[in-house]
Amino acid sequence: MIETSAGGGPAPSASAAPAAGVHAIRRRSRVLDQLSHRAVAAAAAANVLLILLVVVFLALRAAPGLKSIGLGQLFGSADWQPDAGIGFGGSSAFGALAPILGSFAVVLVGLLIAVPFATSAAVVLAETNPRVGERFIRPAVEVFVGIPSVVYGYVGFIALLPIMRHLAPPGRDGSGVLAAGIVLAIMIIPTIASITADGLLAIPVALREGSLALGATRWQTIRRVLLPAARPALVTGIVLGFARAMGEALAVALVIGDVNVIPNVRSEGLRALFEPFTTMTVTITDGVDKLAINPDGTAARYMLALVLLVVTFISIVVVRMVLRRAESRR
Amino acid sequence: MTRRLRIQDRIAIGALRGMVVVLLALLVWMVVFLLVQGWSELTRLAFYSSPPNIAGPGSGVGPQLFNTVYVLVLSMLFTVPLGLAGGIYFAEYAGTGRFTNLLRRASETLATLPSIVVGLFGYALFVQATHSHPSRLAAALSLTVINLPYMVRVSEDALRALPEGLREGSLALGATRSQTIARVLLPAAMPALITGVILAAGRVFGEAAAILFTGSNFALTAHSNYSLSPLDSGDTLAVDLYVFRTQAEPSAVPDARQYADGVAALLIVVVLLFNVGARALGRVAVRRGRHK
Amino acid sequence: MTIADSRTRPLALSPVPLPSPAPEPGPTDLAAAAEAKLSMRGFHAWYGDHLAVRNVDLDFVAGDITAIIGPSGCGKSTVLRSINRMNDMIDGFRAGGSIVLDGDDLLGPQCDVIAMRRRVGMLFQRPNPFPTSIFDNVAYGLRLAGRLPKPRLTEIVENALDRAALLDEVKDRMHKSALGLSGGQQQRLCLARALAVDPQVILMDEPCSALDPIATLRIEDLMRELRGSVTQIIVTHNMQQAARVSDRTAFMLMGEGRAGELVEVGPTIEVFRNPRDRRTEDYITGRFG
Repeated sequence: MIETSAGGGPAPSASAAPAAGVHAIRRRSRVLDQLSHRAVAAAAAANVLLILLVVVFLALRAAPGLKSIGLGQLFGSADWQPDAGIGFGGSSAFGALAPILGSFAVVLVGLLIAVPFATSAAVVLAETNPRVGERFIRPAVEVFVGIPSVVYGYVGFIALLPIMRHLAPPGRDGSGVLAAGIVLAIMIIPTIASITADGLLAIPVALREGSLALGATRWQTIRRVLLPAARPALVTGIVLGFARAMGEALAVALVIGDVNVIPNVRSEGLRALFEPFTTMTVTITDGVDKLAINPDGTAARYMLALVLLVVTFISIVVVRMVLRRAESRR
Repeated sequence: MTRRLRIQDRIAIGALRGMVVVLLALLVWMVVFLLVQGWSELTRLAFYSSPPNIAGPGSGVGPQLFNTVYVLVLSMLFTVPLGLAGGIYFAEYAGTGRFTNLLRRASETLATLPSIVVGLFGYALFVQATHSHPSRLAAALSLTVINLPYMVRVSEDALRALPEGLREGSLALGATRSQTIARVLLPAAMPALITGVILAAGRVFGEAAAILFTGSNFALTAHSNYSLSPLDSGDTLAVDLYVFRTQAEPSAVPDARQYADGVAALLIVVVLLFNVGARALGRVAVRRGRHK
Repeated sequence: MTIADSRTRPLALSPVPLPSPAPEPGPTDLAAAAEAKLSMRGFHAWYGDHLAVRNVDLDFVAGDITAIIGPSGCGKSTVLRSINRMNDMIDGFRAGGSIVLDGDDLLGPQCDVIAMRRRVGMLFQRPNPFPTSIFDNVAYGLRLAGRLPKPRLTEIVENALDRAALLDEVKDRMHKSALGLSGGQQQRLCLARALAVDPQVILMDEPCSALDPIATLRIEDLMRELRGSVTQIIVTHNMQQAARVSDRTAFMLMGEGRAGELVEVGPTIEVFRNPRDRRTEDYITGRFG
C-alpha cells in the first residue's frame, strides 16, 4: 500500500495554509500511522504470546509432578487415588492409565458412530438433495453447534442413560463408554459434516459428468469418484472431530460414571461398554474443588492437561500434513 | 444387469437420506424435549429472579443470569479490541511471509485448545499466580483466550470483504493507512463486524468448563447475588447446570430435577434466539450492503 | 447441476406446433437416413419455459464423423448432450421428439440410461480425468459393471490406451496419477476411458478447445482412425476443424424466439463448397458468427 505524500486531513485553502502547519499535520499523521501499525501488530502477536503462555504455565505447574509422580506411574499404573494422601494416613497414587485409555476409548466409539452419520449428511447436502440440504441441514448444523456442551451432557443424563439401562446388564446404571461415545458423536457430527460437505462441493462438476457419462449411477459416482476426491476434507473433519472429542469434559462427565477402574474387556466383551469409566478430562474436572489443597493431585492433573495439549497439537500437525499433500497433488 | 445397479443405487441413496432424517429428527426431538421438560420453570416468573436454594424447593437462576451477562460483556470488552486489532493487522498490514504464517498458525492452534485446558491455564495464571480466588474477571479473561482467534478471523474476513476501491479512494485523497482504516474501512465493515461480535458472544455463552476453573466456587453455597465487582466469583447458566446436577442433594432439594430442566431449557431458548437473531442480522447487513 | 436428477426422467411429449424452415431433403439425405446409426426426429428442448432447440431432424451415418457447427448459443451442445441424456441433470430441462439408436428411442421412458451410456460415450470440453491413476481411469467404466479378472482388465485397458495412441507414452507409469499428464495427454486418456467400454457412438463437445494446436491435430488423427468402428459426433466452434475431419456437417443457427434450429446438413464437402442455404454460406464465409 502506497502512502501518498500529499498532506493528510482536509485540504487547506490554497492561499492561506502556512507550510509549517501542513508539515505538522503530516508528521502527526505519520507518527500515528506508525503507532497504530505497531499496536495492531502487537495485538496479532498476542496470539503467539497466548499459546506460549498456555504451554509455559501448564508445563510449570506440571513440572513438580514429573519429579514426584513420574511419567512411568502416570502412564503405566491404573491406581488413581490422588486424595488418599491428604488427611490421616494413606498414600496417594497417581496412575492415570485408566483415564488415558478411557479418553481414547470414548473418542473411538464417538468417531465410529459419528463418521457414517456425518458423511451421509455431507453427501446429502452436497450431492443428492442440495436444495433441501441448504434449507434444513445447514441451519440444523448451526443450531447443533451452538448448543452448549453441558446441555448435551444433561440430555444424555436424563434421556440416554435410561435407554442404556435397558440395554445394559442388570444392576448397571447405564453410564459408560457407550453413553459417552454417543453424546460425543452427536457433538462432533456437525464438525465432520460441514468440513466434508465443503470438500464435496469444491469438486468440479466435470468429474461428476465424466462419471455419469460412462454409465455410473449416482451412488457409484459418489462412492468411486466423489468421496475419494473429498478424502482430504473428510480426514481433516475427522481429525478435528477427534481433537474436539478428546477435549470435551463436562458432557462426558455427566454420562460416563467417573469410575477409575479399567473394565475387564477380556471377560466382559462388549458389555464393558456399559461399565462406568473415566477420561482425562473428567479426571481433571473432578479435582476442581481441591485444586488449592491437593498440590500433588493438582500437579497430576496438570500433567494430564499437558497430555491433552500434546494430543491436540499432533492433531493440528496431522491436519496440516493432509492439507499440504492434497494441495501438492493438484 | 443395470437393474441390479439401479436397485443398489436406490437403496444406498435411501440409506443416506434415512440417516440424515434420523439426525434431523434427533435435533428436533432434543429441542422439543428440553423445552417441554423445562416449560414449567420457564414460565414461572420467580425462576428468573430467585437464587438457587440448596435447602429446599424454589430455586431460580437470577444470579446466574446476571453472571452470564456480566462475564460475557466483560470478556467481550477484552476480546473485541484485541481481536479487531489482530484482524486489522492480518487484513491490512500483514504480508505473506514467514512471520505472518507463524502468527496465523498460532491463532489456529489457540482455536483448537480444549476449553478445559484453557480453564486450567486460566486457573494457573489468573488465580494461582495472582494468589487470588476464582473471580468473574478470571473467567472473562479465560473466555477471551478461547474466543480471540475467532474474533480475529471474523474481523479479518469482514475487512477483506470490502471492495478494494474503498482503500484506493481514501489513499488517493491523501489519507494514511490508519486514517483509511479508522475513517473508511471500519465504518464500512461495521454490519459484518457487529454480526461477528454477536456470533462470538454466542460461542462463549455456553462455555462451562473454563469458567468452572476460573470463576466458579463450584459449590452452591455462596452465590454473589448481583454483585458488581469483577473480583467476586460467580456461576454462569451453563456452569450452574453442571454444578447443580453434580452437587445438589436430592433429599434436600426435591425439585432439583425440575430446576435443572429449567436451566437446560433456558440455555436452549437463548441459543435458538441467538441463531435466529444472527441470521436476521446477517440478512439485514446484506440488504444494507446492497443498497450502497 | 447435481446428481440429484440424473435418473431417467419422464418426457414432455408435447409437440410444438411452430412452423420452421425445415431443410429441403436432398438426395444424399435419404441415403443418410438409410445408413443412420442414430436418428433424431422432431427434437425439441426446453430449459424451463424457454424453448432452446426447435424441431431438429438429423441422421448420423454409421461409422462417419458428423460435425455440428454454428455460432455460440445456437443449441449445438444441447443437442449433443441430449443424446446421452446428460441434460437430465439440469433442473427444468425437457426434451421432445425422438432420438433412435439401433431401434431404441433414447428419449423414451423405457430407455435404460445407464446401459445406454456404455453404448454412447462422451468427451468433454476440458479434459476431466479422475484424480486416480491412469490405469484406474481407463478401468473405471469396466469396473462399474462388475468384477473382471485382472489379466482381462489389463488387456482391455492397454487396448483402449493403444487405440487412443497413449499406451507408449504411459506404459511405464500406468499406476501414477492421471493428473500428471499434459492437457493433450489427459484428453487422450479420457478418450481411452470412453473407448474401454467399447461404445458404438462417441459424442465430443468441443474436445479440443482447451488444447494446443499439436494436441488438437493428434486428437483429429485419432478420430480418423476410429472412423468405421465408431460413429462420432463432434460439436465444434472451429469451422476449419469441421472441414478437416468430418464426413458430414450440420449447421445450426439461433432462430425465432432464440430457439436453435437446424439450417442445413449434408456431406461436408458440399456444405462447405456448395451450401444450399444463404445463411450457411454467410456463416462459412465469415460474414457473421
